[in-house]
Amino acid sequence: MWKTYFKTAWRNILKNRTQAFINILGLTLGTLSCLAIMVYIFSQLNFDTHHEHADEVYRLRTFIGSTNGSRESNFATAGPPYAFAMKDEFPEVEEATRIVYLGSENSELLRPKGQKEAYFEAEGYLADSTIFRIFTFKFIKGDSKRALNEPNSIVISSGMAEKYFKGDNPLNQYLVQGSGEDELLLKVTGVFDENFGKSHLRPNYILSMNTPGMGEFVRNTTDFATQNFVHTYVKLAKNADVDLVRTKLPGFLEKYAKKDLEKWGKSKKLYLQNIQDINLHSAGIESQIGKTSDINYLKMLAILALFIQLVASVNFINLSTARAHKRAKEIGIRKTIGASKNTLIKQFLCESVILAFVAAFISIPLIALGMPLLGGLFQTSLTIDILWNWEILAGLVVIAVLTGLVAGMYPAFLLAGIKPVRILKSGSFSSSSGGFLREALVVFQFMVSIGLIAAVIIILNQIHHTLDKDLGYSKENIIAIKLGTDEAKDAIQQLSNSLGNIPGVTSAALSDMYPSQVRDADLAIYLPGEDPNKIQTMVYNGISPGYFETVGTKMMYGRTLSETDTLGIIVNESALKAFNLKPEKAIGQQLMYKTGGETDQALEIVGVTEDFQFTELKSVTRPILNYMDSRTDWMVVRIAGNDISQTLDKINTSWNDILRHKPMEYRFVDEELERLLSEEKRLARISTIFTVLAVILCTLGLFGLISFIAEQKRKEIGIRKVLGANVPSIVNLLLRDFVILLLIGLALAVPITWYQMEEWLSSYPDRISIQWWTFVLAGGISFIIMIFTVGLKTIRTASTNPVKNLRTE
Amino acid sequence: MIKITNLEKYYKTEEVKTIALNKLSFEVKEGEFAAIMGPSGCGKSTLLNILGMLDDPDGGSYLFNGIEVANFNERKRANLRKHNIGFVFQSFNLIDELTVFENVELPLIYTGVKPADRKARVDEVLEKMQIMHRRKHFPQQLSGGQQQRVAVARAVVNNPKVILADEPTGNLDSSNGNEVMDLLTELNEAGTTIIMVTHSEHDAKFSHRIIRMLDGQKVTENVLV
Repeated sequence: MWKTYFKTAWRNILKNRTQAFINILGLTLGTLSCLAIMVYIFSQLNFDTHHEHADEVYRLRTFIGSTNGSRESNFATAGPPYAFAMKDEFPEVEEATRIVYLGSENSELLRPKGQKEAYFEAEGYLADSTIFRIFTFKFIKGDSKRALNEPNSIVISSGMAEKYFKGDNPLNQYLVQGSGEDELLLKVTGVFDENFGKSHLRPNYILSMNTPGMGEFVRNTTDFATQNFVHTYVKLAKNADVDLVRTKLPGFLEKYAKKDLEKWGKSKKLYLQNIQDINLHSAGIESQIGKTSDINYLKMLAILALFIQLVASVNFINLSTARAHKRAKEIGIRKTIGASKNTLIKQFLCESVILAFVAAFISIPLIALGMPLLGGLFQTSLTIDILWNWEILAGLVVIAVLTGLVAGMYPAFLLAGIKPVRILKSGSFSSSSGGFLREALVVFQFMVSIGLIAAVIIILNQIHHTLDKDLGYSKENIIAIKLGTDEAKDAIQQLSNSLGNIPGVTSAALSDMYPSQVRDADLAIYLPGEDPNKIQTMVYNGISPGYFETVGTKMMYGRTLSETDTLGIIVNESALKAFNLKPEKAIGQQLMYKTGGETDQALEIVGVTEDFQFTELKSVTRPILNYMDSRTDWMVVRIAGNDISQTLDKINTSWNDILRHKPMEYRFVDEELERLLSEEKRLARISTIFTVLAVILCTLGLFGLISFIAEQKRKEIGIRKVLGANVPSIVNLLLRDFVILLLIGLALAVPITWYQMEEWLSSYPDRISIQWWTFVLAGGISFIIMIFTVGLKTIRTASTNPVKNLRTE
Repeated sequence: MIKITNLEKYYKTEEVKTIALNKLSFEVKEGEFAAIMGPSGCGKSTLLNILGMLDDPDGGSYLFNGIEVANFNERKRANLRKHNIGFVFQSFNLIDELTVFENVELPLIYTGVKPADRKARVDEVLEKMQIMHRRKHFPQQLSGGQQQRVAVARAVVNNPKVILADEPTGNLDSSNGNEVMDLLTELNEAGTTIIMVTHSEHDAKFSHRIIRMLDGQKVTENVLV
């Protein structure tokens, strides 16, 4: 029986090639979207499951607020002493480890000993030796149990081993970190396979915590209130109850941290998060190691894919029901000679499932070819291997079966319900059956298209609004040069002088953070004479004189900093608002900074600038204080807009003249700003692609439907023309219904899209408001596409000689 | 075999009620060959559809092999039909997408016959209908006479008790028409009951009895044998 179903289905596909082509093309586009999103979602699942103790390992997170409850932040980190205090305190905690993320930004200069060629290496960790007892790393060389026991030990990734030692055995060889007086000799004690398992930890190298420098600082810090930058992980005993440990955390804080927190005017809450949840459940958490995904984002993508597939299925339903009359005779005969309704439903479902499988088969090589594009789109590395996972293939089979059933169900019931006697008597079957449903489905397609187009317009508008907003500084033509090493810091004066002689350099100044750099370091500040617990947190930044002139921020009151200002600070307008200070009285006002020691330090406002957006573009402006610093991590340089590359070359030459063998690391501030919006841009790109797909699918469906309607109305058109109708009146006749359906689709799309996009925009403190013209534009675009699709076919039909139409009828 | 009593069928629109069968009664015995004649619109095809259980009557009784089938639902009718009735149509009604062999095989598939048995049975029937050499052809590759032979083969492949033929020679020339009538006669002689609707006096003469209809009623009945 099934063989016959398949045979008939296949021959029907071959016989109705145009219809089959539209159906397969539509279903392929839909399946391709589903597959692409499935591949991406799959790549984001099962993070950190490969660790031997994955179920027992937890990350300690901290919620930090001030005692006045003004702002609470959710951090992925904790203070340095927490890890081992927990191990001492809780019998459930078997192991603890700390990781200091040296960052993707703050890369370290490394070179093999005895060689001059050095590289800035990002994704470095500083970790306790217990890291390998908690996390499973596959060691290619060395012994994970002892690798980080000794100071100055470094464990490197297989990729880094190849880069630095080029095939030689790196074990027991030395790498030199930093330069000048800061130079540190590190012994390679292990190499791990960087491709083993998917983890939120993706280090290039791991340094032992007992190495001098930062490690020393972490080990010596006993304060429980500050220095919240240490990624802290604990491994619980096999059958320990994590909820029980969670309930004991407030008591733990009370016991260990109360005194420190009161001293600093801070409040903290702790939370234990299983490492397997980190990749998908870390939205809104600050100071994460590397980038994580977000379950809501994956859900949104899945819904988008579902919509695309539904639009493709709608095409199938519409074309199949519209052309039902073509199958009527066959159905009549089959029923007459014994086919039951169920048998026929199975047969028609078989056909739709076959088409869905054809689409699925076509999708596989297409997705394999497009894998690099897909990786670029989702900004993640994807390889073809991922396609051969049984989960992906099983998912594809499920998609094909479900699509086949969803698309085929209604047509199958409609066709199988045809009464044979009607067909055998008249030889035909009226396709008006399913007409209402067909119209409802066309409305659905218009609604999806218009909604998606409007959503894309809103997303793009918000991105432009964020990028184009007045940042309080001029972002174009500023480069930030990294002064990461002591050697570079020692050469600051020399560098400044040298850069000053380059014609393309307009000005240069020093800063600990360049504009747009994300750094969440803040100080607790209060007004002298007021309650020391009534604090405001302020971001702080060390700068040199001329910084504000270089970045283009206007001073409102007072003066800029000078070399002699040790306690003088420049604040922004937001800071004045935070302390309720009048601008005209701000100069000379003192602010108290909580040092954590016996006495707090008084600072004096010498200048006030206009507000400027310091860190994230999405956030609102925060209070900031700037103090004088002559050894900062960055130098910001404003260059003339003409011949940027030549100026850059000259800067590079100056750098190389002064700091031989140390590569210059720099970035353009405007590019960094755009990078900060990469999530939004990615969303915009993905939405645009899906919208285009949805619109193509709707267009295909409309084309199929109008071709059918035009064919069906040939006789009517012929008669009307014979009676004197002109082409425009006939085009109007055919188009009118579609225009009404489009308007209904538009009416439905407006509230749904409006609501959804309001939700999305609500995460932006500085957001656009949704404009009515967005929907007019989205409707207009859909209308134009519809006119082209439907109109061209209609005009052709309307222009045909009526005699021909009537004769063929 | 077939007994109808006061059979009624109406077609209604909002304003008009058309009577297609008006209290029609007759009986066809097992092994009989009956021809039904009458002008267009007299209700012949409606009658044949009801006899073939493709349609249900609005009143009266229809006994098939002693079973009252007038009130059967579609599923029961379909079940009874596929085991007992074969159809031959004027326009052959072969499925264009299936080959000769597959068309003839179809009723066996729907009655659940095993593949090996199906093949043997289809081959046997095709042989008998002298169309074996065309078994792999599609309907549109055959002449009208050949197509009707395939339709007859399909009608008899299940060994039905009754064959209902609706103008079986209407689309054929006289030579092909005669061939089909000879086939039907042979089947009847082998024991199959045949009810044939026809306009052709020539074809009607192959039957044992001619029932003439007008306006949904039986007018005359002539026994030929």
